[in-house]
Amino acid sequence: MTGLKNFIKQYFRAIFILFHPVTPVHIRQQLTAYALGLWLSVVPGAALADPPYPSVMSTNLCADLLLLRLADPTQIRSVSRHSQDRQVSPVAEHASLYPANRGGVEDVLYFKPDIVLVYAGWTGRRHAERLAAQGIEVIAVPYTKTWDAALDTARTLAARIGRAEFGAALVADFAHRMQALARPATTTIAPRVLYLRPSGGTAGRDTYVDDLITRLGWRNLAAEQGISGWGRFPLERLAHTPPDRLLLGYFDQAQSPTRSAYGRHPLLRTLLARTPLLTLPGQAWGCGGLELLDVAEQLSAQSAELERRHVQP
Amino acid sequence: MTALELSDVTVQRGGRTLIEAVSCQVSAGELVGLIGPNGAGKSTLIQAIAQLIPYHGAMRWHGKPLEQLTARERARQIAYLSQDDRVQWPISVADLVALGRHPYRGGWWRGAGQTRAADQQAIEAALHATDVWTLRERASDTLSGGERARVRLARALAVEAGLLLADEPVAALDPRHQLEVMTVLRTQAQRGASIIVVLHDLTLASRFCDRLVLLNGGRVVATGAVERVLSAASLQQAYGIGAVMGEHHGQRYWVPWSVAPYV
Amino acid sequence: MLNHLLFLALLLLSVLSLRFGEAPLSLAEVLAALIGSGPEPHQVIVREIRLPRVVLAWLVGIALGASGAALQGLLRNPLAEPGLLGISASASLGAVLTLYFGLALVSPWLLPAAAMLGALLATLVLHVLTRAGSNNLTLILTGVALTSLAGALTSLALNLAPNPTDAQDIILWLLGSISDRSFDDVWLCLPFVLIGLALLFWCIPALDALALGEAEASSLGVDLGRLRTLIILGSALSVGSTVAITGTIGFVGLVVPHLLRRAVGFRPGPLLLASALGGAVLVLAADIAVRLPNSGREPMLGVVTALIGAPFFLTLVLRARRDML
Repeated sequence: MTGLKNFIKQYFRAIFILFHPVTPVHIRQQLTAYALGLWLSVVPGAALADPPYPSVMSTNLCADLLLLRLADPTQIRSVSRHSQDRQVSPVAEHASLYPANRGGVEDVLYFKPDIVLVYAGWTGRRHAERLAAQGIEVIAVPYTKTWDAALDTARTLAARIGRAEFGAALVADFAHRMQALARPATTTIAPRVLYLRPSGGTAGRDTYVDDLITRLGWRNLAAEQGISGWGRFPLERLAHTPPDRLLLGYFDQAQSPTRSAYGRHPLLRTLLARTPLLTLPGQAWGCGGLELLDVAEQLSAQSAELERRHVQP
Repeated sequence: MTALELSDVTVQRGGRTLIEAVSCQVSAGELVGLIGPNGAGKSTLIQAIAQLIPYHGAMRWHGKPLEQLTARERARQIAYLSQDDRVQWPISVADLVALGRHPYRGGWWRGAGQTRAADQQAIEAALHATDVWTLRERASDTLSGGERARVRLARALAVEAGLLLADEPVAALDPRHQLEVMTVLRTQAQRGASIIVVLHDLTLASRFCDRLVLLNGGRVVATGAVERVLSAASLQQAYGIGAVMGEHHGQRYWVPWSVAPYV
Repeated sequence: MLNHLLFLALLLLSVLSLRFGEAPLSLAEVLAALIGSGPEPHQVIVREIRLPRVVLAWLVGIALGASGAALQGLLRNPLAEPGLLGISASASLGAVLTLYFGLALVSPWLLPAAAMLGALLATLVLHVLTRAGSNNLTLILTGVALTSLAGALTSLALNLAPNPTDAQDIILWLLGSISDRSFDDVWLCLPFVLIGLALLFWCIPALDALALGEAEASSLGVDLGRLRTLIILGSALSVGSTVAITGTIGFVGLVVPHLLRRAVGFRPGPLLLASALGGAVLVLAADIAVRLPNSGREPMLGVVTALIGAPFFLTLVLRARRDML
């Protein structure tokens, strides 16, 4: 009986997703096939559908991003509610198609997925045993520091949620597209780029930001100044060693007075006015996952635009 | 010559009448003892005269209503010595006495170190009068009870006010210090000041005061010359005690003797 | 003499503070940049980054030192201090609420205004609760209650903050720092600090007289009601406006008056000016100290003053234990 109920629920969700205006085309295609399969499966003797994927829920934004990209729509039980928040999530609309969770152990027990994606510091991990007893597997999604690691994580995760083939193809495609954007650090003077947040935060060596900047053939000023990891770029250094380009993160979100003193400082404002800017919306790359490709494409385009304007003033 | 004149002074607090229709006069150069049992209203009356608490009735200082004086004028005319002998910070004796010159002090920019000549004179005179000149460098928290009482009296004298109100200045002092403090008050009165002193010690009161005011339950039981106020009837009525009178070199003094009237 | 020494120390530390920083500038270069000659980046660094920081250290130190001394004199209690009594925390709350509701977008002046209002309310509560016979215990407990309340409400505002990066910025700001401030920030609090200081300094003679107790001080012509109003307003203005810019920098108002009290012969009045100067010296010195480990990640100034101040406070409590119990 519950089997039938689940079936009906799943079926209607598939239909809902299928006809929802924001659903991407490739998902629509997948769904059509899947819905057909489901329909056939209830016709006796016509069980042609693939074996069902394990159901998965994710409890934090970065895992949500991966899950939404890798999973089959029917296997997603729930996503974290952060992913539905336009302020922080680049995929808010897509994520709104699924039930939201608050990331607690109770949520996990309520949705009862086969697999739950958490981040390394998830407090619910203490209850891993209890979850295992319920048949729920806990997978911690690592924070990656490089594009290669992000690809690796995606490939591994896809395999673990039963989408190895799909994942491998996607990763290969992404790797290829990134390859196309990558430029070797040319001998001509590569621009020194500084990633900056309104609070003065920057990204030095061993961050995906650094990895991406280098990949695009630029020099990361923060790394050259000896900063490693997520550090701060002091105002004085900014006055002393200004970058050729500023890569701004989160500047769209902090309203000016709320911004830290750093972001409000007249010196920074002067610098913003006279330095070529590369800007990214705040939610664009908080995770360093596959969305780095979008970011790289955007930055590449912005950079090309800057150079074009520079050539013909 | 009447310096201070009280008529029908009444003090009420929280619906209770603490002082009821007190009238009396103090002349210049007069040392008046304010006596009475515990809770009679002595401290309240003295605070009312010092304009520290609200009251009904009239008070005149040299014919002028006291409440018409500005805060600064009043502070220069009336010195008040409270019963509370704590000094919050261990400031030096000289600085403590110098606080008596506050009513003459200018703004904050005139530091306490730049006292004017008149201030300096008053401070030194007060230090000498109370015999604490040698203590002037000491911190006030290192003083003995007797020393502190004299230093505080010096502070009050430094005001050079015409009216000195002292609330039990000899409480908790040994006999020598009691005599010293009373002698200082006596001397000040001879120099022309009007002094009202709250006392519990009837012997000291009869020995040093020109006149006495006996309070009980907020009312004046008796006022006037020492013999009249310390009559057996008044003492019996106010304190429920009897006292014996002695005489030394023509000066009469009273010693409390028994809880029943002494016959 | 003491004030001259403190002022001298203040000048020396100011020069040292201008000299210290990320960019390795020599003293000559710093001085040249200060008077407007030398290469442009040097001028920018010295005049737009380091100088506002020094000026703000002066303002914060003066505000905290003077209010600490004045509150101690008024409440006649050596443990009174804007940070401990919850005045700073309440000012922070006011500022956070302004940020949270986006009121600071309406006018930048609303930020210091809300902080001063918070400080004023806290001071009034303290005054009402401790007026009738304030002992150390009531005073400190009231302060603890106010600090907890303001802290809880601040956390609540942070929990509800629409944007996690905002919350992060606010939390950092709460810890107290004067780095990366500009002259815009200085102008925002300067008028209120000056007015507040004027009110506090107005009270110097009365504070001296208050050492005799309220009754005798009153008999000496001190208007107690006016004195309380002036000191409460003065502390609220100077502390509130600086908290709005720098966050909470604690314990300055406790440590400084205590260290200088003996040197001014324990007189509350002269202590006020000395504490104002001493407060600036302490904040400036602490702000140099946070920059000493040149690691790019300097500790927050408020954290450093708390590290100095908290053990100090414990010593004071131990010494006053008999009084407390």
